[in-house]
Amino acid sequence: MIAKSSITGRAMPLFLDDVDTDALYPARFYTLPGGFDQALFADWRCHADATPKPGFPTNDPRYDKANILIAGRNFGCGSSRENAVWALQDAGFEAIIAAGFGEIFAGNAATCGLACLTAPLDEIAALALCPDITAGTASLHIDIATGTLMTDGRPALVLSMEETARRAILDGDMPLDRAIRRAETSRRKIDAYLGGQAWAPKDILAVSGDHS
Amino acid sequence: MPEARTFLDKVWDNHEVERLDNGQSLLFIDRLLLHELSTPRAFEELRKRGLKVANPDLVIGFSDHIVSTDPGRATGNVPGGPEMLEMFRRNARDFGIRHFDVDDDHQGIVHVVAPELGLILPGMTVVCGDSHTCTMGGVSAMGWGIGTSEIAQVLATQTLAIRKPRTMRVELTGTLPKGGSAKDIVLGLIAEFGVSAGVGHMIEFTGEALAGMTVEARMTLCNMAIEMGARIGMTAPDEATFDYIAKRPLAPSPDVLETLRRACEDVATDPGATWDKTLTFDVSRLRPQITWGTTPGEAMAICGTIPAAADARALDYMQLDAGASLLGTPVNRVFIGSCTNGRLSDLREAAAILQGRKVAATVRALVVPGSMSVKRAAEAEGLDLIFKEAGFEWRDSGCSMCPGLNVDKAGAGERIVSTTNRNFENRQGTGARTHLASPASAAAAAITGVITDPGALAGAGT
Ligand code: SF4
Repeated sequence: MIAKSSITGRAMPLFLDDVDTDALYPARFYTLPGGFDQALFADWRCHADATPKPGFPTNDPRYDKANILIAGRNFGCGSSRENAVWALQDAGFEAIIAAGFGEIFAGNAATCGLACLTAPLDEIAALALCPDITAGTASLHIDIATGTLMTDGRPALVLSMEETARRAILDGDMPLDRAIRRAETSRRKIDAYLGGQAWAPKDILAVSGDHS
Repeated sequence: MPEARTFLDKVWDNHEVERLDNGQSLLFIDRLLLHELSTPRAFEELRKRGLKVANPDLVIGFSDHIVSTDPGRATGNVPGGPEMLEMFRRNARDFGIRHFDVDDDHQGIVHVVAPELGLILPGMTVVCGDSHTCTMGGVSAMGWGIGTSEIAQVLATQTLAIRKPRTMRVELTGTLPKGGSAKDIVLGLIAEFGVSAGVGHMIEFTGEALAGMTVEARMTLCNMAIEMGARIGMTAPDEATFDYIAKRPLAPSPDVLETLRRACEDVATDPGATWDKTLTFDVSRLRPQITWGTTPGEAMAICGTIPAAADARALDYMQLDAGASLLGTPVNRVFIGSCTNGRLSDLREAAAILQGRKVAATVRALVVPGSMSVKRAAEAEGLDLIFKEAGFEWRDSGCSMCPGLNVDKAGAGERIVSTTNRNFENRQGTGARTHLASPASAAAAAITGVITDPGALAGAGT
């Protein structure tokens, strides 16, 4: 993961509540060849015959360069598929600003370095409906350390961010490396836990294929 | 005096290895469950770094999402599916993980098989790359869904760093009217409080309605905690829990069970302990529920009317009108199965309605047991004959029509009454319209070919 102290770019408003992971990454793409980005919003973006629906923001040339997505409440609700995060990142998104997130999605985003920032719904609505945002011409700057969002001609807006997620983006740490270091530091406690379980699963788990 | 703690707090604390300086807890994980979809990249990561699985005996694999459910499994795979199953097989073999593969006697949906075999015990922490791991709360285990990067971390360390959610108590008061089920309770609950009511919280279900519920019904209830936004939903252990555990094929020995019972007394909520938030839901007048929209919270009594202020986008997708009744709406498909309602008690509930009746000629109806063990148990009591004589397809186990990623999918515009847990747009097939409901309501729709109050059909047919 690349360490980042800020994210600068253009916004794409998708001002809907409850954008779910089946919309972000329809499950059938698990077995289809190709990149994650081709799955992103596939059923919202395309007709059944794969021709694009012109009204959908990702098909709108005004948002061609967008790297910041603005949504409503409960973004990323639904399944645990990290593919939803990978799809957004593959399509160039670096940050999502929403009035709330599905928790598993937010956790996955944190491990992958996709910034999830929140603000009250009315503030997001005000932002999403600004003419220069809808026109795709506004340039946005998010300072990760403070969560401050700067856009031309508007007062700065301070967005909330989960602290662990903020640190992960600022440090650009690899979560697996961090987990391994952490487990090493706690090795003695972990081993003691394993040894101390009365219902030690080892015997339970000596499951052969034919124990029925 | 030590602070009074809830059951949720105590289970959490029992697994806390460290409190990290970023405010997260490092938790010990008792069980990591895997399925074929969310794992390939996790194993790839391990391979890349030459890492081993830290505790392979605490990791169990299940092939369920993509498998063919055609009897015998000879047909019915999507392109790329067999390769994905083979990759999982190879990873399980290479890393020394017990894997309930497609041809295993105990194959089935991860959230059905793991508790039914006795692999999940009260007070455990259980994670899986699947959001419905909260199902384990039905056997009083703390289960939650994680992403692929987190799977890699648990594979490598058997621990996970996670911020402790706030605690929420959902008190279910009253007793459920006859003909109602856990599915109706949870749909009614989400309709009342909304799909994000549980975000940031772990839920403990309590109350009078819970006391009379079977462990299987509790699993149905906990399964949909995530649809309320809570990663974790649990029920505290009681006699019903221990009766259930003692009957599992891999139940611990009587003395281990006794130790476990004592450990469970220790994790009982202290007098005076408080939850961060409490919701109360009275089930005593609850009618069978069904969803009309495209989130699990867009539900109503099956005999009711769609809210006047219903979301226009959802109505447009579902081709329904605000203020209208759903009764009599024609359906094309009925699906009974999934980790929500694929257990023996669910099949019994549906069969009680189907007995002596026939599926309407306009409906294609599928019943997919949640595990091969459920399938055998149902056959032992003749449920398969009731389903087949009614005109249902009687399948092998798997996720089938729930996730829309194997061959079992509905077509564009088709309307399904489904016992699953998500009615998102396009979930069960591009353009498919899903109505979530109980097994009884699904069976009733299958017979009449239209959305029907199962109460109107109660009792055996002719
Ligand atoms: S049955 Fe559905 S919800 Fe359950 S694990 Fe399978 S795909 Fe997920």
